[in-house]
Amino acid sequence: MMVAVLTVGLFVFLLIGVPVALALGMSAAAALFWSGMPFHPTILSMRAQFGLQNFVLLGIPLFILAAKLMNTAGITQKIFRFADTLVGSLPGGLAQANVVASLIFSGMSGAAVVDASGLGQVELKAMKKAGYPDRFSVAVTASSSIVGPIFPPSVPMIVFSFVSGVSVGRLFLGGVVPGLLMTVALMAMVAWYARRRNYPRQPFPGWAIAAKHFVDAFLPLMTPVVLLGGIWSGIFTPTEAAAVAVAYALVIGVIALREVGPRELMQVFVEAARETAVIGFVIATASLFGWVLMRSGLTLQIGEWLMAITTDPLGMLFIINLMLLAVGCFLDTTVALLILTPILLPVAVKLGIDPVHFGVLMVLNLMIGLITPPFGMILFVMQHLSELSYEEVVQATAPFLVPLFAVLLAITLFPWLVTALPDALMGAAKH
Amino acid sequence: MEPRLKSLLERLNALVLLALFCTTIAAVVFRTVLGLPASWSEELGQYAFIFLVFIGAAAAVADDSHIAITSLADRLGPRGRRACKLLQCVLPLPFLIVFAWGAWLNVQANWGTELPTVPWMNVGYMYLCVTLSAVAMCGWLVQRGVRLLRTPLRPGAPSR
Repeated sequence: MMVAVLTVGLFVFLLIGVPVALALGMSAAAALFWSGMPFHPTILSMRAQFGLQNFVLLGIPLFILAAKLMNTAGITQKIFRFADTLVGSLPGGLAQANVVASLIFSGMSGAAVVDASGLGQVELKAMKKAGYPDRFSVAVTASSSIVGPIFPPSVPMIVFSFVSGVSVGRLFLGGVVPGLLMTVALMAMVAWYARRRNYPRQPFPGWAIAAKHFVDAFLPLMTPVVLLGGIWSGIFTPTEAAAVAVAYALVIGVIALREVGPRELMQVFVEAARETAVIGFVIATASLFGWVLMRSGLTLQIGEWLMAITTDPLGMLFIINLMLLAVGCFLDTTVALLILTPILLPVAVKLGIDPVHFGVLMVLNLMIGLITPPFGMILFVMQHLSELSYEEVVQATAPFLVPLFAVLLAITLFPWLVTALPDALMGAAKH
Repeated sequence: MEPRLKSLLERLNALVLLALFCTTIAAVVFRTVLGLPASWSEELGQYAFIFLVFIGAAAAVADDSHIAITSLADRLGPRGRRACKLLQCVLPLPFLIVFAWGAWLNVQANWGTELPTVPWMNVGYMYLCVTLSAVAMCGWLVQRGVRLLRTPLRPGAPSR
């Protein structure tokens, strides 16, 4: 009865369009009420606030704030110019710059939607001006924006760490190689398109201009170095690194570039607080939901079902990949991580799969979900930013899923692509 | 009144976010520059985060900006859409009422409990924020539901 109320209740509430955070809390409370166990109303708010009492989660508002500050300070334009100077002379120059700029920006942002809506605007405008077809520009911008949450820092990895207890520092470092692989794969795809369609290369602007673009982008370029260096050397924790990123963005935007005034600053804080509250409320009620889910025994049952299908780690990873790709098409990343990690991670650990490897795989699967229909959030952002219909955005972006699937396959088959860097820099993990 | 309250909550939340940033960066400065541990910053930061979430969650109900899957509801006809919208307002109310009631009981139980490292911060304040947030959410949902019922149904009218 408890399991039926929990799962059917959640499904029905979501279908009606009740906000996800409320649907999670409502189904959890209903299941608890009908479980036959003693029900006390205090437990609801207690579990919800327990879910938020984790220092790791403080990284979410701070990384969102840092990325928004960088966007407002006009740093995105400087990054794009620098990326254009760096790789613009390759086939499909400006599209290559689009991909590289996304990688650079991902070093200071942790959310794909912030990347798509901030840097994406600059990239789409520049590519349109250079005569690239809208469909191609949208496809490159959408697919490259999901590099953001794979390359550190990453809001989804903070959420995974919160649920799983896996070190955020290890997860961040684990995302470096997959993030670079995604960039290279997307650049290869762009080059292939450029050769077939004769897209232009950008002329090299000369060393003097290249040096100026490098100097302009130098401070933002140093963000990942400062953050990862600080975490690796033990000067600060990943959560504190988020605060350092904000301080760094404030220094660049307010003092060095003088692009952010008091009014813009207030607006950025309001927007970051709003986005944090929306994610945080889902985390709070998902904690309540997760607690009831655990008590219902459903997590163990699903684990047993999965183990009955296969006990081969690779086979299990493929099954989980397929499941996550499907879930990612329908469910928000944070929600999917909060609900599925407690179910899937114990199975993975039981089969000897490295939790850092598993975490990065989970995030990558769900990020691909952001650019797959019907509910790919970034597809909606792209529709909003371009003049294309939703269907056109979906069709244009579809071929760019191929290189992303190739990277997913590579890191599924070769776990060391994820684990080698954290193991080398932080020592082998003890699981 | 409604936009003013929402705007007030959002500005208040911006200040909470500023406080959260200051406490987190203070931990780094205290430890690396002054060589002093700042255990209070972690505890205060976590409480600031809870305030941030619940104040903001109430404001997000006011402008219907919580994450929701509305694709099915959006595909329905005007009557179906309206019914879904009404259910979205009505169904969460029992949960929010019980949630607020439970949080209020927690306020009473924890009013005198101070945080170990931040004596001026009371655990009851946090539960009070949770209670008020749930009450505000109820208020805004009821208001939206009433407004929806008062709006005459026009075939083909946009859903929002």
